[in-house]
Order: sequence, then structure tokens, then C-alpha cells
Amino acid sequence: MIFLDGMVDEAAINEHIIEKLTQPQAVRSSAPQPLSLADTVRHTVITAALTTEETEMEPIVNRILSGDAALFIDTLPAAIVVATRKLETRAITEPETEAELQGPRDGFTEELRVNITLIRRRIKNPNLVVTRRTVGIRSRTDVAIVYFRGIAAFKLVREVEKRLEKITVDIPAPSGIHSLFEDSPFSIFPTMMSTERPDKLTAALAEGKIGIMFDGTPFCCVAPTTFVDFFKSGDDYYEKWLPAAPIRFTRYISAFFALTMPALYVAITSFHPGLLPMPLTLTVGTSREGVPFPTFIEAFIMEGLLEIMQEAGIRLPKLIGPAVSIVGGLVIGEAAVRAGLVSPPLVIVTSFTAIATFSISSYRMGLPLRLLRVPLMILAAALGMFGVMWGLIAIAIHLSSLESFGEPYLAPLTPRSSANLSDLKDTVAMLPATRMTERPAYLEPQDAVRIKEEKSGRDDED
Amino acid sequence: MRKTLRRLLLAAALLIIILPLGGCWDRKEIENRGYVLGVAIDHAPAGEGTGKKEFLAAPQGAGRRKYRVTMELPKFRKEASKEISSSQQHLLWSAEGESMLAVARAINARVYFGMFFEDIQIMIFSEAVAREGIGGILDFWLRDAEIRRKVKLLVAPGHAEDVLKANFQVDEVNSVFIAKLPKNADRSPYFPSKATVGEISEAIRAKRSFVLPFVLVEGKEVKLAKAAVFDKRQRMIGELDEFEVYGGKLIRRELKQGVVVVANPAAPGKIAAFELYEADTKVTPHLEDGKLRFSLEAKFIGTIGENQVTGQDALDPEFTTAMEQAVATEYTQIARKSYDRQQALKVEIFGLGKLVYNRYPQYWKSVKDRWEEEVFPSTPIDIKIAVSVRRPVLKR
Repeated sequence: MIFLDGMVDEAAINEHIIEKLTQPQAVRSSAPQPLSLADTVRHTVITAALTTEETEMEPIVNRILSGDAALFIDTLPAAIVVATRKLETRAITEPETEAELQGPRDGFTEELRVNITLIRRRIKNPNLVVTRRTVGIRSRTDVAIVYFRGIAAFKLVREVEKRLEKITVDIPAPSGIHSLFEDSPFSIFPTMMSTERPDKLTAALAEGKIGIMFDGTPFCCVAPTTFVDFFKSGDDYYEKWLPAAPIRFTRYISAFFALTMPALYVAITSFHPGLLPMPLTLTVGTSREGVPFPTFIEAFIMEGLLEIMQEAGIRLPKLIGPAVSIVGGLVIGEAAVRAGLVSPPLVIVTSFTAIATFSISSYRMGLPLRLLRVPLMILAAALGMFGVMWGLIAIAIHLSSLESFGEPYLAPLTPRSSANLSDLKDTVAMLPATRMTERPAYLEPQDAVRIKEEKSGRDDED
Repeated sequence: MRKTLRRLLLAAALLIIILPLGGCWDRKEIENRGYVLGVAIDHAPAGEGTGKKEFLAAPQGAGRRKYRVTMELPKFRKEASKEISSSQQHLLWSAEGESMLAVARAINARVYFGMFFEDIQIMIFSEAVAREGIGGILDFWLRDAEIRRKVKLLVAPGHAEDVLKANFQVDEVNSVFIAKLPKNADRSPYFPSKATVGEISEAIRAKRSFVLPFVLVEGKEVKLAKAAVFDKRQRMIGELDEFEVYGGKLIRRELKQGVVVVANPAAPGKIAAFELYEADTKVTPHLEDGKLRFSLEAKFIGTIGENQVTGQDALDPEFTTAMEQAVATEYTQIARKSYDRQQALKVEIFGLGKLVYNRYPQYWKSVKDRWEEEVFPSTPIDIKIAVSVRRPVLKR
């Protein structure tokens, strides 16, 4: 018998295989008809739930590598593979990267089977399809494609399968597999969302999207993902729509400011002070008095400091984290202003920018906004407001040319026809859950109706 | 993939070309601009002297050293020195010349921060300059792209510069403080409040006459009051006193609030005050047999704001009626006086011409060119003002 120590459940092997094999066979005679040796061993001797008979060497090796035990019996031209897999897994904990106030507290773990269970537990429906395959020629990482049969468009499923087949990397990093089959690898914007939250994935499945889960990472990908998906949070749906809608809107506003605030400050103060109300002009002018650097250099330094502090905050052990914020925020900010190296309004602008970045619910969306700030600042410093507008238009053009699994990235903000206008109900603002009677049309779901008129029963979350 | 790369390279190349081409063209740090907040225009002191006066003169190929333009700028200073007295809130720069543009540029030669006009709040003309005509001077200030429509125009008796130089009680730049004064114009309608560059520029283009408020300085105080009347050639030809401005607003249908003090009907030695809070005024032109006349009908609703006779029963209908009558008479007098005064000055700034144009366009065409000089001064007006006192008792 062959198994890999540490990956198998030793108790199960002892109890169900070795113990049974060494005991005298009493039950054999009770069989109604004589069985082959292999079947005898599988069905009457070994008491494990899952056994298979394998004749090829390769699957046997694969199974052993995944933690099963293979039983070779002399004279038998096959091996009996017993599922004895036992993996030490982390307990299901709260998702750390996506905090929600009222969302469920469970998050995906690194174990694929656990993650699938988390989804299955939420959708008790045989039409929830999970197809498995492996990715990575050497690593053979398990991948599960999850979708709702009857809702998800077939071409979308096919597209995901096709792309997964094309991956030829030998050992991909589990959390980074999405970058291997994402659209537009050269774009700065993420075209696929990864989530740690089962409830988020469930909601996406219910809309007709497809989940792709990888073994070894708690992040599941959702395809297709559009721009607005990055600004949604589960809390939007757990609260009444009237307070939730403006809160979601503030995320767009803060995304805009996170992107443009330093650039606007540079452009306005060094090119168009007439845009500010007179008292504000004088206040800013007074506070800039004696600062040695031009606004652009000043903003550039502060922006650099901000990014360094943010990075330090992530990399440091949690115990030293507060020290960074004290040194960074208080000492550098306050001391720099006192020393006259930086003007106070710029410190306000920088911290506002940072806070605005934090309020975007998705980290993946925050990154491009952070990165694009700098080119916008350069444009602002060279061309003023004209440059900022130029940059924003370029970004808008780029966004509208992106696609995610065949869907336009800006869908459903840019409806194809007036019939698709109802998709806007759940984008920048939102309507009450009872009014979201249809699934997003841009996904071309097989069943577009989410809430049936006569029956109030809903398929899932709203 | 190659296509994307080529596009990226192209974009990068474009950026590299365009950014230096722009060359930070208009870039100027916010603290390096001279924010002109107020402009005062006087005649340059007579007598060609030497020294300081030569220093102030703007180089001009033609023209005289006619005007003295003073600009008020805020003083940027670090927080530590905030206790500096208010006299040092501002900086003043003057230069002399006939061309406004040359003068403005002449000041630029004396400071490193360029004069920046987008934040100008007020512009003051001395009375002497105003009497000579402000149309030519205004040309530069209307032409310059940086000037806002909201700049308030004022006239100062004596030297305009002194208004900017004055040391007010408040800790604010003089121009900023003065520019905020019209905020109370509704409650205290004794000076013209619609006197911005934008409005005046419209009047100039439409060849209308207009009024500007006077700015009076006494000691540490400043006040807007009265009106300087300009004819259609932008020359100041006279002034209206405070009640004439009040009456002017009444006829212009702009009166919203206001107080009149009348002799108390209950006790002639004492006074009572009426406070207007709702005015419904209607002025109608009538053309009968080629003769034009106006009729003004107004309904004023207000309250007795003050009654210095103690123990007077304010609900007494006789008292109320007498009060209403006294107030109506007072208002009629105020309006009549303003109307007569403007007829005498041969200017019409009530906007009555517009009413005539609206009602009798054909007739207006025939009188348009001699409206202010001939037609308006001989056009009578009937004034009927009904006053109603509401809420007479607020005091127990």
C-alpha cells in the first residue's frame, strides 16, 4: 500500500483498510454471487466510502500525490485507490481584505472543497454546476468553474473554459492565476474581480456570472467583471436602499477625488487661482508663503511619502503598524509643515486623497487610481487644467475600449439599447431590491427574470 | 501585442513632445501672484515734480500723466506674526499715467509678483475723475480677460486712494470689507446696490445712464450712501441723496424692505416707524393722444416697527388707519422727490424706458433718441401707494 505520510488520514487507513485486511474474512460468504478479487476487496473488505479501481499508472500517481492511498495486490492488474485525503486546513475566518458591516462573517479558505461547500450551502440547487479541471502543467492546481445552469449564458461558460485550457504556465501562483487569463494584460485596470466573500460570489452567480475558484487561495474570481462591480459592496444590499444608494455614490466621488485631487490642486494653485473663491485663494497663498518648492514638487514628494507609508503599513507586522502611522502621519506631516517644507493645504489634500482611496471597496481598483495620480499630476504641472482634462479623457477612452470576457468594461453604464436601461438600477445609484426584477441584460442571461411578478419567492440575495 | 506596444510608444512619444511644448506656459505659484483686491483711480496730483513722482510715472509714448491708479493687495504673512495691527493688512501700489494698461504694467516693474486681476472686488473713482467721465477708463477693465463681472464700482468724494489707505476697525482688507457692504442693501436701501462692472458695461453699451454708490470714509468707518448719477456719456452729472435713492428703488420695483419714520398720529411730538416687508409695485405707461404718462400703483405691507408712545392701543383702528395714511404719504413723497430730481437731472434710471418699449414699441422708436433729454423730463407720474399695517401688536 502506498500513501504519502502527512496528507492522509492515518486513522482512516488503520481502521478501514489495514484493520479490515488483517482480520479474518467472515462476511465474504454472505455475498449472493462470487465477486472478483478486486470487487471483493473494494466492497466487502475495505469500509471506506470512496474507492476506485485504477489500471493506469498516471492517475494512480496523481491520486497518491493528492493524498489518497493506493492498494496494490499481488496478481491483481489494477490498484485500488481509497480516498483517504485529509488536509490540514485553516478554519473558516472572517474575510480580511473585504470588510463589511452586516455581511456574513465567513470567508473562503485555501481549500477548494471547503470553498465549494460554502457556495453549495448557500444555493441548495442542483443547477449549480461545478466543473473541475487542473491548471499548470507541473503544479496541477485544482480549478473549479462554478455557474448556474439556466442563468449563466452558455457562451460565457465556454469562453471561461477556453481560456483556462490555454494556460500553459507550469507552476502558477494560485492567487495570481487570474492574471493568466484576464483580458487586456497591458491595461492598468483590473478586468476581473477576485473576492474572498462567498456571499459576493453567490450574488454574482445569481446574476449570471461565473465563478472561478483555485485551490490554494481564498480569492475567487468572477467573470465577467465590469467597472461598476468594483464599487459595489454587500452592505449596499443589506441596508435600506435610500441610505445605501448615496453611500455607494460617495464611493464613485471618492474614486474621482482619489484620482484627481492632487492634480486638481496643482493645476488650480499654479495655473488658475481665479477658480478659487477669493478668501480661499488668499488662505492658500498665505500658507504657501515661504515654501521652497513649487506646488508640483511639493505634491510629488507628499505623494511619494504617502505611497511609501501605505506600503510600509501593509508589509509590517501588525504590532508595529501603529508606529508607522504615528511616525508617518504625525511626525512627518506636522514636522514638515512646521519646518515650512510643505504647505498645510497640501497635507490636507494628500490625506484626503489617501482616505478617498481607502473608501473604494476594492483594493484591486484602488491600485490603478493610485498609480494614475502621478501622470495626472505631471500633466497638471505642465498644462494646467487642460492637461488634467486631457488625462481624464484619455482614461475614459481607455476604459471604454476595455472588455471583460466579451462584455464591455463600462457595461451597464453604457447600455446597448434603451431596453438595457433597466440595468442602471444597480450601478452608480440603486433602487430598492424589490424593484430589481431583472438580471443585468448585458450578461445575456438565459433567464432574465429575477423576481416573478405573482410569486414573491426570490432565487437568492438581492 | 505588438500593436499595443506600438500604441503605447506612440502615446509616450506624444506626451514627451507635448509636455515641453506646453512648457508650463502659465504656471505661476499661487503665492507669486499679486492679487489685486481693490483699485482706486484719482487724478494725478498737479504740478510736475521730480523724485517720487517721476518714479510713479508709467512710461507712455503718448498721453499725459493724468490718472493715479492705486491697487490694494493682501499681505501674505506667516502665522507667527499675526498680531500685526490691521494697518498692515494690505499693501498699496500706485502708478500714474493715462493708459490703464501702461499703468498696470508699470507697477509690474516694481514687484516680482505680477498683478492678477481675477480677484478684484471694488473699483473706486474719485469724484473729479467721475465728473470727467469714466467710460474711457473702464475700457481696459472691461477688455481685460481677468476682470470679473462682479467687480463693484464706487465713487469717492475727494481722493479715492484715501479709501484704500484708511485704517478701518475691522481686521480685513479694506476692499474686501467694502465689497461686502451691499449685502445689507435690502435692509438699508439708501445706496444703489446694482453697480457692478457687468451691469455698468451693459448700461454703457445700451447708452443708458446709471448710478454708482458713494463710498464715504470717516475716521475708522466706511459707509456706502447716496448715488452718483452718470449720464449716457458716462460722466457724473449730479448726485441723489439717500431718500432719492430709496425712492428710485421704489419706482424701479426693487424695494423689498425698508423703514420710514413718520410723526406718530397719536401724539404729534413723538415718532413711529413702519417697517416694510412686502411690496407689490406696478408701474404702467399710458399713451393718450400722443402724450405719455406713468401711473404707479403700489401695495405695501408691513408692520409697526416702533411706536414711542407708551400705552398706545395699536389695535385701535383709527390709529392704524392714521398710521397707514401717514406712511403712504411719506412713501409717495419719497418717490415723488426722486422722480422730480431725476427729471431735473434729465436722466432716467428707473428703467421706465424699458416699460414704454414693452408696451408701445412704435412710440418708443420715435422717442428713443431724445428720451432722457426731452420726453422723460416732461412725463408726469401718478403715484398711488396703499399701505397696510399687519401685526401691529408684537409687544405686551
